[in-house]
Amino acid sequence: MALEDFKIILSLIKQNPVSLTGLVIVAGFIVVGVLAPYILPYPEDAWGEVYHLEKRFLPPSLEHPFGTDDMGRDVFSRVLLGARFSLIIAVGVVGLALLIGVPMGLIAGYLGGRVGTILMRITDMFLAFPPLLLAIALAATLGRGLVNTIIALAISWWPWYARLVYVQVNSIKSLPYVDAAKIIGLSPLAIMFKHVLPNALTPVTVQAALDMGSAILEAAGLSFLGVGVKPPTPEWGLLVTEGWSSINVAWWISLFPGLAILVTVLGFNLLADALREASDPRLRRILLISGRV
Amino acid sequence: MSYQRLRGVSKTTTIILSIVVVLVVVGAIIYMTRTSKPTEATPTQTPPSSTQPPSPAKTTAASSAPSSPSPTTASTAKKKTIVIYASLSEMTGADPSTEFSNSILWMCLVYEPLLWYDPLKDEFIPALAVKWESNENGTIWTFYLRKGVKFHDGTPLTAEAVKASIERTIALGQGAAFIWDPVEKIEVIDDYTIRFYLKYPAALDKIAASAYGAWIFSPKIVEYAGAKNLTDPKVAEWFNAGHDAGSGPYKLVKWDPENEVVLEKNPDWWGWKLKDYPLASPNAPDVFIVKIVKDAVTQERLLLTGDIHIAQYVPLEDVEKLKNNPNVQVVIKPSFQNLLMLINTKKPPLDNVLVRRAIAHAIPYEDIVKIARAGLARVASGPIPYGMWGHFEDLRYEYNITLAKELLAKAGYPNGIDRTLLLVYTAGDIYEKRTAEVIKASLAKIGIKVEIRPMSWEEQWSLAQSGWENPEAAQDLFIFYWWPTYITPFDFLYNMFHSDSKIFNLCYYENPEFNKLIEEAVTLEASNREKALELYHKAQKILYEDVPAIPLWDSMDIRVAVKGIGNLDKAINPAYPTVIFAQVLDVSGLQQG
Repeated sequence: MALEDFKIILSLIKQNPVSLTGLVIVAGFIVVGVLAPYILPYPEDAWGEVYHLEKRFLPPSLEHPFGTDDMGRDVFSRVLLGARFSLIIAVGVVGLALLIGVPMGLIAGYLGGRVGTILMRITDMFLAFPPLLLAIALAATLGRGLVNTIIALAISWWPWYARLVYVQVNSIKSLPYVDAAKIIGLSPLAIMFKHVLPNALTPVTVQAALDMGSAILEAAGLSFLGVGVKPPTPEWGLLVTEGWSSINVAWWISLFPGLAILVTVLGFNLLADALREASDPRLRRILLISGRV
Repeated sequence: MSYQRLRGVSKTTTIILSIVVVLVVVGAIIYMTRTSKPTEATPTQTPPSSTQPPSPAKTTAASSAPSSPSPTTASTAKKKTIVIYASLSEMTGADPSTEFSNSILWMCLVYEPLLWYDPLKDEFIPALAVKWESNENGTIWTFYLRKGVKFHDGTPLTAEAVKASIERTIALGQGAAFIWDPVEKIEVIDDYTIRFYLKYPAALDKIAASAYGAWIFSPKIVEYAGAKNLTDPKVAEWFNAGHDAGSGPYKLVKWDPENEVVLEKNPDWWGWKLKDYPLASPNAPDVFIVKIVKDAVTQERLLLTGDIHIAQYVPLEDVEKLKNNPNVQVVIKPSFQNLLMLINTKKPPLDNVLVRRAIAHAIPYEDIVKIARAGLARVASGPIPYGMWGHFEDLRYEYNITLAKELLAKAGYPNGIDRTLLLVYTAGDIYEKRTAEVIKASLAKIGIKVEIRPMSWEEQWSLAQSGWENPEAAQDLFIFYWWPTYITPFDFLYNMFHSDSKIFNLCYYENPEFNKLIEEAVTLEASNREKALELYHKAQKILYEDVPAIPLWDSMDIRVAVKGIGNLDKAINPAYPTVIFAQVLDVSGLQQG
């Protein structure tokens, strides 16, 4: 992503309130995720280290803005801390998937031939499974836990990046400037990483931003199904499940973490939409011609 | 500009649209489930004059099962009464000899044992046997069978049939077959008299009243299944295809173990004709449907909308509210299921009895009951649950942090334990989860760190099984339910604590003195109850001192039903968990449809 791309994105976001909302939500999410452990009103409640017999199922109030849960813990603190886990999951899953998928697609696309075929068939094997199903199977085999959840999701995720990069590289590698680089005697590795990869990354970046939201959603899904992170970790999906059995007396235990998931995923989707528009060459041309950038 | 605005707007519209679509779909599903269920359950014989339109639905459970000719079809002018009971778990097998799981929920209505047992009154209710006796030391038992009893296929009940049924169960050796272990030989005296010779003294009356593995069935199944003999796997196949060969008040007419099981009244049952038989009501429902509803919150919703009549489980937090609801009734009975925390007695530092005692005194039992079960349980006193014979009230540990700290210091850990203990429980069980979290928080107060790990039952099981060979690799603490196969303290004490019981003794506890005590006690159960009780008490005292496990709570059974279901209290018996004895219910006050 060049500086110019950033300008385009920013101008797009500024002009579109929907995208701006997305940016604000995502920025807020990241800030809360990073600062969460330091701004918790009830840190012990958030980490699930205590219980309060007398404070169970309290409805939302000034003291407990999101109420308290079945163990008498402050739901607001738990949702705040949950943002950190969701952030770790989002970054972890997408990062790990990029780390596997991008080199895979790059090598397969640039080298082509037999190596390319083998690598892409391996990718296809993973793509043959519905992603969530594969993630559930992996998570169930690996056992519960934050790291295992990230690994399970990343493994079901990387093939999409590999495919995306592969297609990009395939079209880029026959461009004249790559030929030029070859002629002046650059090593294939240098060509791949210096000349091909940077130009293939734009769609991957957009996809990655979009996937941050999906990763949070799927991790929450895994926890909800009981194969994700371990209680009492306040992961949002887990918080939703924990509230389910008492939903008739205390709707707030499930509602607020559920809303947190909804808002965050929505934010990522809106932001990713702006990124997608920015990477659309036709739109770019319109913007450049009209001189708005 | 207009281009982007358009895209932006279309995005929001898409979001709004998708939310609307989701709402509509969810609404439609709820609407459909609400409206379709009553019609589905209405038998087609409903006269058109009733308020319900005659349902053309071919799905009616009771009347349309093609393989079962309904004997009452011709005679009924009146509408059939239906009771729907929601079960939380799927049904398992349908073979009465080997079934050792959820299916007793309906088997108790379709099959009969020789005797029923009411553990709260500690008395027997005659079933297929009317009279029984044993010799002085309980090694020879004679049962006199009820005359005029017919199985659902018309075959009369004889001593031969009883012998064949029990021998098949023993020969297959699966499920609860072990209850017949004392039996040496079964002898048919005449058509209605049967005698059991035992290898060692045992309470065969209680064994014969077992909730598992004690059913009597028609010997003609060999013929129906086209099998060579009773133990031929074809017989089991025949059962599991949804056939029954029982003698009970209800017949199995639809077998769909993952969704519903439909039972229809057996008009020829002997119990309807007996006067004053405690297990029969003149107004019992004609059709009893077991519907699988795997979630307590959903069960409550269905009950409040009238789509089911009895709920097996509702969220415990809601019980107080439901008690005040004029349309429903809440029945609370003791249950013989209890929850224990098994301690790995072979893994340091838990191999030190002082550490185990410290843990026992650091657990706030009252808090656990209040938090995990909304108060609907009883703090355990020993491993034998409240209400059962063999339960003693002097086996509770006092919650005392100071004492716990002292014990821990005496054990050589004044600053707590340097290792994080692993506590495992079954994933998805909210009661176990809450219990685990309270224990984690409480043990932290005496300097013991605990990691709680929810596991699937299979994972948990294989981890625990590895403990006998390699206790170091197994869990430290294991939250575990137990309930008896038949009503004897021996069932609890042997399975969880005897060193020969490698499958369920997951404390890896070995104590020859304890073993000897319970081995002796079980042989005295029938002949010298006083002495047996004394020995069982002594054995539990040993457990109290040694702390191989910490009993946490004795459960209570909570059944919620609509108001019109009469006699619900009588239809529940803790010796037969999850069962509703439908033949006792009085549904004359039930609004149908």
